[in-house]
Amino acid sequence: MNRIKNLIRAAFPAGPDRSSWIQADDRILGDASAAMKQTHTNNPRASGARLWRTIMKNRRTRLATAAMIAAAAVLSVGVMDWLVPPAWAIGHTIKALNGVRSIVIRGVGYDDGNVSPFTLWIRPTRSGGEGFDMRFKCADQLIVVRGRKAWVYLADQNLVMIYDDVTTSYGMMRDLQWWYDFAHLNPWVTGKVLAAARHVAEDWEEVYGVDERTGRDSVFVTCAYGSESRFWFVCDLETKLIVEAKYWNWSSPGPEDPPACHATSFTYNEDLDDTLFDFQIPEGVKIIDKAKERETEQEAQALSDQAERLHMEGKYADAIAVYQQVHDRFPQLTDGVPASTALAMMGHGYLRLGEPQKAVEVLQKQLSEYGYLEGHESTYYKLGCAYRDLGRKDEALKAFEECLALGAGRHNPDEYPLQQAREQIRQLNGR
Amino acid sequence: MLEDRLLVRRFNAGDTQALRRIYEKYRAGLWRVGGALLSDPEAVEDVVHDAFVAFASQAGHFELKGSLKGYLAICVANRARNVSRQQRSIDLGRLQQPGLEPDSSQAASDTELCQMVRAALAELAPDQRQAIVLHVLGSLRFREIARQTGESVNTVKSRYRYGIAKLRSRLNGQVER
Repeated sequence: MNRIKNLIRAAFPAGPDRSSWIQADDRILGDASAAMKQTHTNNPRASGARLWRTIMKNRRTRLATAAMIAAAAVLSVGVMDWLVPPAWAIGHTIKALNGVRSIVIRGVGYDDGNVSPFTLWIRPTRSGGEGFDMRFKCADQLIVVRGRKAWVYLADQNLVMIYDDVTTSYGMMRDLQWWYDFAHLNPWVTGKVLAAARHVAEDWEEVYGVDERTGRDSVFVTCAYGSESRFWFVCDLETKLIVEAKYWNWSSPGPEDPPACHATSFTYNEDLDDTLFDFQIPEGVKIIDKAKERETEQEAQALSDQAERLHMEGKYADAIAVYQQVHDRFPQLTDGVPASTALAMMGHGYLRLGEPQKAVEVLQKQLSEYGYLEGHESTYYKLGCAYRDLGRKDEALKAFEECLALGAGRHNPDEYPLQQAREQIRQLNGR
Repeated sequence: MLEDRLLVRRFNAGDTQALRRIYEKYRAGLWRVGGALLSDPEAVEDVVHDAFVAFASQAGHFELKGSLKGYLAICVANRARNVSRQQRSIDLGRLQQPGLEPDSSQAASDTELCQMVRAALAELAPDQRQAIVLHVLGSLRFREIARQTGESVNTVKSRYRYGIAKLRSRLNGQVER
């Protein structure tokens, strides 16, 4: 099945060539933008009304709760088509946050039983440009953001990573990227983040009560974003501002688990010194410049693509030579994924060429060098085939069994490589 | 998924940059799906164009159900199918990668087997071809295809399996099991 899928993919490469694309892009995006603008011209309030309707989607739940506090008598008709606000609506906090000039958040992060206090300072850029200025300090980690540029200093690793544009970066900057997406950078995070967060949230719930820490009337909000992240935050009903928040991610999924992050204190509108957002690269540190790394990734990708084309065309020896270059030149790029894949494909190529001993060598090398990566079930399947071809039945069986064990729950059992591994075991056992 | 929901929100708010980002994010996949269902590169461009303009026309009231990738891929596939019906038959002699003019370098790198795969795929029943194209080239799960097309998951899976079996048969042993 996998072979025919690969053939289909090879028969239909992804899209036209670059020059055709550019011409087509101009036409398609031009017409699509015009159509989009036309829609908004015809119905300029549609998007705003829609956002607000969505924000108020859980009206019944919210009003029922609010009614216990504010009494049903306050209900009347609002300006759009929702009923008048109860004691609190997220719009109040969105509005309140939009007037904020700076926020300082203090709290603790929990990671594998370690508790790390943190402080985060954030404000709009002084120049009024895109993004925000931010400083995040937690244990041995310091992140400084100025507009779109960011520096990450990991003191325990003596390492500084420089991001030229956090909106196009991944890894550690991913969370920041969400902020940019949430806020759409105009003018900075504040209320827009919350508006967007509410818009895409699932299981939004509001409970009214008294905050035990302050003794003040508050609303306690819980919400989720898929199964891997949950939030809980408290808004003061008088100021409408968030005063406490917790965040659970994939590493702390259970209701009883400690949050990944607990922001215990929010200070608004403090005057923040410009020097907070300066970053001096310490002497003697290792520097990773993400802009340069991205160029290297593109180079590795081009080489991998070339090897894949040769492999798909059945030119296995040529493909192996190019895959070898990928492995040798980029052994640790992006955690070693391209190099690991190259070794796997070399193993496949050697099998095709009828050289199982060489296949065993490169596949064992892959497992030895990149065993920490996931997805080695297909490597074990190929290894089993290589041992089978060498007549080493016990080692072949062991590799196929390992393929099944690793792939259980990750792959459809009726598809590659599990189905093939089961079949190989059956044949080797003479059944 | 979350990123798509944010993009859709911005798109609904009238943000043309979000529209551009959605297009650039899924452009390659859409061309690939269209190219596998139609023989004429210009028709592929038209289909991607029409699908994307229709999507853009929904700004302000577009509701994302399922994945954005799946939605756009199905839009392209449906439009490609309509065009294909109008054309009635696919000119197998013109089968090539969409957007590429035939030239010597392309011909040299285009293996005979790939051409056979394209021809065999073009000869399949439209439902089977669509299931294969959306699953293999569009990277859509069967459940997503079923949701977007209104068919049952088993129907989509059956079409896919019958289509693959026919492809194997037509490739006459060129493909291992």
